[in-house]
Amino acid sequence: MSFDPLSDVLRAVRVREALFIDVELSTPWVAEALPSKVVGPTILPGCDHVIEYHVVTGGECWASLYDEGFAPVHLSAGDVVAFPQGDPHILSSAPGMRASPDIDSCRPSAGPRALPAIVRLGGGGPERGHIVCGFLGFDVRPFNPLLNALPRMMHMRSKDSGWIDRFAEFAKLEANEKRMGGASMLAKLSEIMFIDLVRHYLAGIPEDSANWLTGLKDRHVRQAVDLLHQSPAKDWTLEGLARDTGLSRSTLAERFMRHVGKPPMQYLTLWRMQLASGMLADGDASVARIGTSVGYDSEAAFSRAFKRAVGDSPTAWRERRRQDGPAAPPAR
Amino acid sequence: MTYDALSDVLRAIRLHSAVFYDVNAGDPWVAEAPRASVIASAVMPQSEHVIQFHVVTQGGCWATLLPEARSVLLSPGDVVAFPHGDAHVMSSAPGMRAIPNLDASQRPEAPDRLPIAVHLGGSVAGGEAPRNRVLCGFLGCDVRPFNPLLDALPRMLHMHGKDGSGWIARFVEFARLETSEKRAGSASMLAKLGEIMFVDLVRHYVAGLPEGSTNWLVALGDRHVGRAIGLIHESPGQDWTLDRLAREVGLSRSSLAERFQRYVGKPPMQYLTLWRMQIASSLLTDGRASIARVAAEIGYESEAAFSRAFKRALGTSPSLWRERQAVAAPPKSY
Repeated sequence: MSFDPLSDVLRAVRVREALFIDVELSTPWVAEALPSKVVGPTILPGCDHVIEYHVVTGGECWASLYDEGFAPVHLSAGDVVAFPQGDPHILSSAPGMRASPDIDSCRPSAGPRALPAIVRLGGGGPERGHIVCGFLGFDVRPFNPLLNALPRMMHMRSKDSGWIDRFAEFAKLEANEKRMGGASMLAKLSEIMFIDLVRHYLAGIPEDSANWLTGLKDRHVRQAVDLLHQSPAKDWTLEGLARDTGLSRSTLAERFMRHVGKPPMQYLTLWRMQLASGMLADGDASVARIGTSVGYDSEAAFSRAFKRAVGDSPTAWRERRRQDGPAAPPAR
Repeated sequence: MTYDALSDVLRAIRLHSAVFYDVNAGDPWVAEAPRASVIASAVMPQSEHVIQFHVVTQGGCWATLLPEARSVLLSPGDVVAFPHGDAHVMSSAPGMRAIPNLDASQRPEAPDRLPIAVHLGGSVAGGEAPRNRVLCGFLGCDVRPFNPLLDALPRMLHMHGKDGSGWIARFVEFARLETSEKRAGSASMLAKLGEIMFVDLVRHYVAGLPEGSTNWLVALGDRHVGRAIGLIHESPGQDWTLDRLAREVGLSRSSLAERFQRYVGKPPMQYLTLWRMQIASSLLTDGRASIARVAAEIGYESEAAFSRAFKRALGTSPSLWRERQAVAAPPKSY
């Protein structure tokens, strides 16, 4: 089996926590969601970035971004819509409806436990609907090629996935029945849904768009990304990478740039800093040791590169993470 | 909503899985797994304890627990797991033995090359596909200082695909899809599926326990003891006393003490201390907080009192323990 950079990124960019809210609807109804950076700290404290998504498990509705001129998207039962960049958005029983976001549920004092697992919404009209709202909390850290590559809104129709509608059924069951281990089950389920959503997006993007995910579809770029992810500490040069992928230096540079949006060596540096920041946050390994494990012989050179990419020295960054970071047991 | 202590424990023991082998086998075939402690450091270097599991996606086979050679027949869709890491044999007929292949129990350099395809047993004529297919995986978790879940599980767990909440059947179906199609993200997908499968396996085990069994997992469902465990897990840092706990769950002091002891096998306050130490050890391993802060987090006002309690439970001081964990676990990029 060939190397799987998507799994690699998903591992390094951890989904820390997930949460579901089961929403029972009757027409007319409308719900506005605040930007995830506003609700994130309350809903999933300790996560750097929160992605909200909705699975329509019954009825139909419309989803829209706030942008002027954005045409609302129609969602049928089994469809999924996600907002990877954390944009505020509107879901409603008819296009063009507005409401005020529920600020109360986002007060820091409320906390995740204060959130109801089941919400009823709407005017009591004849048309019923059902939505499962999910929140995925990520560690973003300095460089997250996956999140950078995703659009502001992703929509997947039920017919395009063999998984999602069935998983949504299970999620609903878990959310309603409150059986032992339900919270773990829901967290894993939403991670699975997210992976499937990304795959679906990957399958649908045009070949020529400049995007890390499309890069994975180009044989040579993918091979280069594979090599860098497999051995991030190797003393790569553009020449060496070009040789291993069977391209000329300039062709590789050009193709990589076109698909990934940055030169191969810059990508390597950012990925090394992503790995390093994970080790800085999670363990007690010395800065020198972390530098070595991502390919820097000298601690000074590593610290310089880290500071250039992240804005802080490794020590300062670690210090800050310890102050900000949650003192809760690790998510996994 | 009742507090979900199982999820809490799963988080605290840092349960995570990986599907390692995609075994295609023609009859007759046999594979023997040594005690998981022998291979744990090779397959899951970051885990203290490893649980091996097997999912039959096609054909059928026998799983045999060693050394007593207790065998169960597995049909397509069945799952078997060995929570305590016991040695076992997977084979086309009961009673077969083999020499464990330790060389095969190595984590590949790139974990995303998982699962590794393995061919076993009788040669297959004319390119015909082998009849049996088994996915083998590992679940890694912490055991020290206190893992109430592992303590409550038997040495061998077996579940039929048609039982449970339907998860196992889904797991098998999707796992087969993921292993044969090898799409982007498959290794992650299989890991998550393995974790879901394990939760379902545990639930199924609890559902099948005879009425009146006393066991931590059963206790979670007891109105009084389950509530007491929930309170401890929800607020381990509160200054609990037996009186307060009893008042909260609506029992007398002595009834709670008696009931808790019967289900859990230890008194409530001892359970609280062990659970606090479990949380403390996670916090220490994660390396984010000072020892004083860890102590405060789990309800110790004085660092000295915490250190004494920690040492009593784990045999080393918090700082020494943290140091050892940091040395034992290499900087990890995954």
